[in-house]
Amino acid sequence: MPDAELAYGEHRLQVFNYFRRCGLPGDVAEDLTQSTFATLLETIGRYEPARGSLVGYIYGIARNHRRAFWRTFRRRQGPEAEAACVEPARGNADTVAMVRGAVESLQDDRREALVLREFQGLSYAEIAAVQDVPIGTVRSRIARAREDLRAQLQRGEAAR
Amino acid sequence: MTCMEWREVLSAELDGEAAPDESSRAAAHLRACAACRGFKAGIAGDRLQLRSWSDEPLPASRARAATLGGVAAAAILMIAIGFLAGRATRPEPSLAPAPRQDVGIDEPLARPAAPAAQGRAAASRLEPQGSLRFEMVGAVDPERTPMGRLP
Repeated sequence: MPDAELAYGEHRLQVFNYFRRCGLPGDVAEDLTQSTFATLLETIGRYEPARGSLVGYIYGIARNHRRAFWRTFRRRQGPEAEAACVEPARGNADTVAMVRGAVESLQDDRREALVLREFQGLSYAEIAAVQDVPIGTVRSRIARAREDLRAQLQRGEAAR
Repeated sequence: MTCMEWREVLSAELDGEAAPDESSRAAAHLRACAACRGFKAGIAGDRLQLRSWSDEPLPASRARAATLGGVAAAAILMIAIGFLAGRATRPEPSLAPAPRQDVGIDEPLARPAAPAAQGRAAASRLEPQGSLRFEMVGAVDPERTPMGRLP
């Protein structure tokens, strides 16, 4: 059985940055990172390596916590609060701000797939397990994320 | 195939996830389609730009909690401090439970997506008023969190 303690040491920074790149504020990202590994500790006995990698399993937990957070937020704050929180893509001051703004502007499932691929280094099969969709859907989401990202970055470059 | 379908192949190719026969057919398409050639060059350049967004370090409080056991121990210590603080500030000695807002566990949030996480206090936070706040794992309170943006 994998060691949850070891996984915490190896992956907590990446999980924290997964939450950040999926658009969550730092304090929420911190708390959800803790929640993710607490759930891992509780459920690691049920993890089956034959069904996928441990990394995929961890991000599956992280995704569940992220979605649960948004569900609760939307139920409590209402759609108008959601609209008020959405910031327009911004940042021509430097490349990082522009990239961050472009990634933040992506549709959620596409952004998550792209983040898991580009920053977390997951394979398409692992992302499919995390998102609970076929590999073809992952492939499509990543390609469309790249299309959208292209358009955003080109707009950002043009505005410089 | 449409250009969007070819672009799925080109995107998968960039990730090393395209089948060899797909790649060879995509190469034939690229010879005839300038827009898809632009897309292929563009996404390779965008990847370099993405890499400029490096990892953020963990906040100091979390970085110090180097082990899961350490996190749990810290949470227990904070609960004990909160309990003692509650006793010290209560006007009259009482066995009544601490006020809800000091404990910070909200009903709907005490049922996180993963039921196994229930009952495990693992995160604590100092509120602006100085009261200690405890949260259930998997139960981040959206009402009390300054939000950045939504997906």
